[in-house]
Amino acid sequence: MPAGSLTNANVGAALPLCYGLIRVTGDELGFITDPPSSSTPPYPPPAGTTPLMQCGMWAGGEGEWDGPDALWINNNRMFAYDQNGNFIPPDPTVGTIPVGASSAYTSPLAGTLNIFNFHPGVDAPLLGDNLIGPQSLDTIWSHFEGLVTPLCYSRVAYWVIGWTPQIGTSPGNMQPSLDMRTMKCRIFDANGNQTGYAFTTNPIWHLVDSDLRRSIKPQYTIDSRTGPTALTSSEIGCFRWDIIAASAAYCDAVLANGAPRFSGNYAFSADTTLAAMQEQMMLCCRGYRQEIAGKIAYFVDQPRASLFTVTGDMLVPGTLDGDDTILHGNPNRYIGSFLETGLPAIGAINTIARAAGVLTVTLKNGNPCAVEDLVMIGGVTDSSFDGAVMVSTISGLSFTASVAATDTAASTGGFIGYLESRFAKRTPETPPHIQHQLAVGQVLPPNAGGQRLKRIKVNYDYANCSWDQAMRLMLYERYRDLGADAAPYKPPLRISLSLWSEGVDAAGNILLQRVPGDVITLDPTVSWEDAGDYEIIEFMPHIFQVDPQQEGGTYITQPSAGAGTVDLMLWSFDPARFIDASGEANASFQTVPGAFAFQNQNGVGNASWKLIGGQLVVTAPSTNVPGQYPMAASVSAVGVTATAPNGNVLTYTGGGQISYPGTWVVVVLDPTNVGGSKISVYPYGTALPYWAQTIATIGGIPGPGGSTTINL
Amino acid sequence: MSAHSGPAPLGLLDVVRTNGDSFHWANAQVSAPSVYQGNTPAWAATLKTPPASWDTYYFPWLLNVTGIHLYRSQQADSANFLIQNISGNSIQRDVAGLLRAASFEGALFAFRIWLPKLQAVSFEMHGTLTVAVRGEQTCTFATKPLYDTSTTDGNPYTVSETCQWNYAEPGCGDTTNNPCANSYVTCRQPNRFFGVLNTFQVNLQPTLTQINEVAVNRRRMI
Repeated sequence: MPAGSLTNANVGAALPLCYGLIRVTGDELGFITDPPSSSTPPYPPPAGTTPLMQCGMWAGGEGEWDGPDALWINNNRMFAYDQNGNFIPPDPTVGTIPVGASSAYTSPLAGTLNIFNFHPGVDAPLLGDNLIGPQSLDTIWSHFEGLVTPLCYSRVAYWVIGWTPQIGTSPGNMQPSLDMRTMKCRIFDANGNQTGYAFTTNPIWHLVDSDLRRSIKPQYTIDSRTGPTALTSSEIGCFRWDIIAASAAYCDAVLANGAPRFSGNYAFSADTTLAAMQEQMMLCCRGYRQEIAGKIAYFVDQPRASLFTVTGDMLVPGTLDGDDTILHGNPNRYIGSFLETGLPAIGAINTIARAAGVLTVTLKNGNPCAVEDLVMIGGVTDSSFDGAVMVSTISGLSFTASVAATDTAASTGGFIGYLESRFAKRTPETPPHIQHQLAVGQVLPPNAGGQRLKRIKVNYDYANCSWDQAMRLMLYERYRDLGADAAPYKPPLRISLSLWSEGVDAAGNILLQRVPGDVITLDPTVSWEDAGDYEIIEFMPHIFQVDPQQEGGTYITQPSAGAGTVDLMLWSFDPARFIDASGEANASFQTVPGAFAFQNQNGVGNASWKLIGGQLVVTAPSTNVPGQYPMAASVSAVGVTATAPNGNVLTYTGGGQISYPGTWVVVVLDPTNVGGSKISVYPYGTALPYWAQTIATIGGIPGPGGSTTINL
Repeated sequence: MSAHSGPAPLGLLDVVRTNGDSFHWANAQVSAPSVYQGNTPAWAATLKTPPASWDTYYFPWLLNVTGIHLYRSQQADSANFLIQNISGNSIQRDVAGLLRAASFEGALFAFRIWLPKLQAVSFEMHGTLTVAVRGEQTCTFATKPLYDTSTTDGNPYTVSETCQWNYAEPGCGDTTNNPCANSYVTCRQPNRFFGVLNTFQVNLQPTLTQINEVAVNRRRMI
């Protein structure tokens, strides 16, 4: 019986599928409090002075995930990254937490983070594979003393944490919480060429990825060096890349407020269908899906040209009808539920100034800050003030912080917020649609005095979303369903009609080649009153000219009912429904402008260290400075296709020296910095930073200035 | 009027079932390029004059296509294909024999409206088939979408002691051609084992079986 408490995995649950940015605890795979007899560093602790280290493993979901942005344990920040990708350590005065330090250094308030290893969920190495990859067996298993069979958790994104609680406290078991950049997705161009494999918040690439991993290529590998198995030409041919790439670009477009038009962030942790998942993804981007001649196409509802003009000679006489039955039962109060991806603003900045490396911020109404708080600043008139700072002193409405810039500058405006308050639950509502509420609420004639408004709610779940995006999406749904809220009320029209199936318009467009979602125009010769642009909602061709009936062993063919026609269900197409302005000023509370910690929420901008093919060259420094590492080696990519889209910066020059013989390990920092991953080299066997993920081991490196090549 | 006349459009139906056999049916006998190609079914050997090019020869078996319905929403697109089931010999009808020989469930189909004069397609729809009605004289195939997301598990993997891979699939990675029992002890690539193991756990909780309590009406009136 072990002295430490041990719990195991929570079995029976679905392995989550996550995309975008999430805050997660994870499914506990194993947990143990080290027994006092453990000899594993940093034990044995000084008797009676320090609590025992807790070790745990938590599964996030199906890989491959990109990495963590921040970690809290029992509400204390263990680390985070600012918007420039810089590492932000824990609060120094409430407890410096030197990674890997002896528990004698345990913080009095926050505890000590001794171990943190993130495994992205690639495939573990096969037997005989020499690669020490990111999904190799974790060293934390030594703390479990053989009580549980060590596993690599291949294909599962998971993390291990070793943490020593605060001195003199009874904290219970640690409860970690992480901000995560989750799934890496393939990125394609309009011709179906894969141009990247990276973390993205673009919903279109989430949709494509979900189709690939569930339907088109469910059997594949994720190699830690080369990424997921390449698609065959037949598999690539399952998509309409021209449409998909255009939709992705439309989502990526940056609006006037600086935000991408549509981002998607969701964690599917319960058993559900792919259809339900994709419905959620499409809800977050005005998306819809079509299979066009056997190929998948994802559209984003947006302004677009009419692709067919219906004239009177195409109309089957007497078939044009309209109705309001959908409108009659429609809700008119649109409520969005989501977790706010922005940082709620907890203070408005009155003045902000810096001089001689000291930043002074004066707030307008109250000062919620405490010394050592990590405060995010955004939206200042002078944007050079935007960023993360650690509070040094507080005085009344003001606080100060040390900053790198030593120039003298001053500005006004902007807000402050905390990383901890991200993912606040919000349920905003659009302005009511008064005309529809009047239309469905009438129980007395208008001349009876007073208004009777029937308010009918509908709730949309936007998962993890910004207020701005959720409000734009709801305003779109509201307008698409109900039309403009103006008197006299003119709701959208639903039209059904039959056209002769061989119709070709004056521009040569073929009716039968239209698909649902296309915009077509009803010419005044079809209907003077209902002429205009409509979107095809349903498309029902009746193609055959015959209705076979058998008589005496032969078939008698007769014209079938509706033969040679196409039935269409149309919905008014009003480009005014595409609303790109959410009216941010009307929010009940603001969020701090800026992305913070989460890098490049728009599209594929996040850095990735994935290397596809080619070589890494480790070059020794030209001057030998004994006794220091990481070596001042430059590590550069040669013939390497790196999927980091923003520059592919794969070089790193550290300070120090090199001892040429022996074995060295090449590690990468993941999460990554802007511009690509940092790559560093350490002597084999030395303690690595907890963020380090080993991608290769190398033998001796030739003398000063020499180099070693690593085949990837 | 001559400008508006010409050969009538034809409906072409290509079918490939999971064993690789391909079939090509139209509402008139015609030769045309096909979307799907496959193996010539064994049944073709019984024909007195088998077509020289199996994958471009369309048998005139397609009697009708009804219920084509395409949606903008997630609702599944649909169609019905009516195939004759009269031709054959004195013992067996062609279609009935094909249905008995191997399943058409999940067979791929591509339906096109073919303009013979232009040698072009004006409408094309893909999906999979299921046999809706196997009648004495006709057979009706109903359709499912090619990428049927409503019947696809979004979370196919469970946190379990049973490995979630099928043996030797890429995620498993084993190449010894020696199937396992999806358990850890039989795993030949333990690094790739896709499961969890709870080999030791303190479970000092009562093991009451949770049974739904159903109220029983003992004074039934009917």
